[in-house]
Amino acid sequence: MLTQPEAKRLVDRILLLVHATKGADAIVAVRGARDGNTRFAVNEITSSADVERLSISLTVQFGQRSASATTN
Amino acid sequence: MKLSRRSFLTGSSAGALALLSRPRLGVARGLLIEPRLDDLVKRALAAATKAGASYADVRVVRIRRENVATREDRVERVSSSEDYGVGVRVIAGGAWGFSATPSVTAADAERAARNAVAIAAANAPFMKRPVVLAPVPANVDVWQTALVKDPFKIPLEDKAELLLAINREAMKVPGVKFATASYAANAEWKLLASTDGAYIEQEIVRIGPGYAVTAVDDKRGEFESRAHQLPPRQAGWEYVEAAPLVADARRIGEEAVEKLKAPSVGPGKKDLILDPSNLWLTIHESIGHPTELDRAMGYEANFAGTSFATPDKRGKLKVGAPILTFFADKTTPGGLATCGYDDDGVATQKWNLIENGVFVDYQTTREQAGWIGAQASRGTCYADSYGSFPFQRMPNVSLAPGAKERSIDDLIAATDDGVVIVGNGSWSIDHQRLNFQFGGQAFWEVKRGKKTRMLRDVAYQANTLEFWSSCDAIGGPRSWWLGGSLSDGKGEPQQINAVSHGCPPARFKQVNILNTNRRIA
Repeated sequence: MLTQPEAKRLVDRILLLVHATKGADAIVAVRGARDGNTRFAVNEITSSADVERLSISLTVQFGQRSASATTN
Repeated sequence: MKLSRRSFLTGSSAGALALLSRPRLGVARGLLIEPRLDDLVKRALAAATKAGASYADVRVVRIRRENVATREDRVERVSSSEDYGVGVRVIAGGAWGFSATPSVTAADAERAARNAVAIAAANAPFMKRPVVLAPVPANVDVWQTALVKDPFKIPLEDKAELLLAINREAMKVPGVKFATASYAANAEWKLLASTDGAYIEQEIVRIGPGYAVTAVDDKRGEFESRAHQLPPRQAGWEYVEAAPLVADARRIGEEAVEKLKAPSVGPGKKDLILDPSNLWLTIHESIGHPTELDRAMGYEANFAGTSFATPDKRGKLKVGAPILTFFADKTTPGGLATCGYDDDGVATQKWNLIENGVFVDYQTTREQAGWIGAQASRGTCYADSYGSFPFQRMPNVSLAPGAKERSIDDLIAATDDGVVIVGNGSWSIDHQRLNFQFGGQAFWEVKRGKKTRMLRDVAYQANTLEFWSSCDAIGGPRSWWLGGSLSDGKGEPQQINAVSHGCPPARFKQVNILNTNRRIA
């Protein structure tokens, strides 16, 4: 999981790259999560998981045109 | 003998000979596991074993997706995404444990392995019976989608231009007011290694173009839509290039307009002729899901429930007419669920689920095989990302064609009073997958062996066993057509599976036809 300063540095770096292109606006989202689940059926535990997720989404807009990309 | 993946691919003359002798590897495009990943999976398996796992598997998964959506003369959405990570599944103390991380490093994979074992150990005291896996050979292999043009290397401009050309053509039809065309592709790369000796690298590429046209009658305030029924496939861009998407756009638009002007169907019992573009979804819901063993045993009840096909009925229950044999097949060329090996490391295969109308078998995983006394898994285990727990998912489930060559036109010619349905629409099915209702895209009345006029507001409603038992004619081998969906949901947390269903056209006697626009006074 990224710390808040790490996420901020990443966002700033991406926005710097976007601003190098004239007329471009952007939204950057960094999402991190840790999910736990235990699933029961027929009074038994059928699966149990602990999952970390991280994604960085970028939507760039030039006037009326936009596109988005997500990676992790 | 166990081979390391790296030495197998790059090493000795014995390895080279093995490469040449394996037909699957012969068609591979040269996937090679990075030494870093080779080290990662070995260290994760070792960490799981050291922590107390009696079994462990590691999946490194990278999924890329691309979507383009257009409406009339504009591009509405362009997006791409990538999801990469490693998941470790273990059995310890007879219980499952699973942990996953997007950090694809050996140290984090080891951490995930230890975490998975700790989860399993915590669950173990609550298990009524231990998880036992059916045996499997130590498969070492590479498998890839057979394709010519990687869709991810085709410029976005080409994709957008194709979709806009479809819209332009459809919008030329008087009465058409809206046209939407879209394209989706995904590429799923994964490396699976297990303590049972699996070492399997696969890349599966799926592609799904589509469009829909809407005609509007402003005076009456009514509209009708018609979607093109080109199915998604496991294929490259060449599949899209070869499809008559633009060529069909005007006809699809004209059918939307004709449907808008068509009379509403008169409800009642009629003979029903279903085109494969409609029937595939009925197979999915009424045959595919009920033969998933977890539903039949009560371990899965989400997304329309359990199943009428309980184990005590195996080999006895008459599901349909004797002319009907449904088979599961994770090797169907172009099938969305087709692959070389499932996520248990089991080689994919083909087998019958319904044989000459009688329910005979299930879809199983290694964990499930023993539940019904089977010696081996059918190879239907799948997880939709690195962070998803692998479980039983539907293979391609299809209806075998009849031996005699017969087309949908032959079925129409042999029908005195009926309805033909093309394309899939909305559907609903009950929690034992017994009572259902399906719509469609386009409907025609049949009188004395001819399609007479289009109809609208048509749906058919039936009981699964009565419906399939009423089937009295099916098309032949040349009429067999492969439909499917990129997004079949199951599980908790929900996972997505892509699956295909092939079938010939078929006729059903005296099925209940509903008028979906009938208003209660």
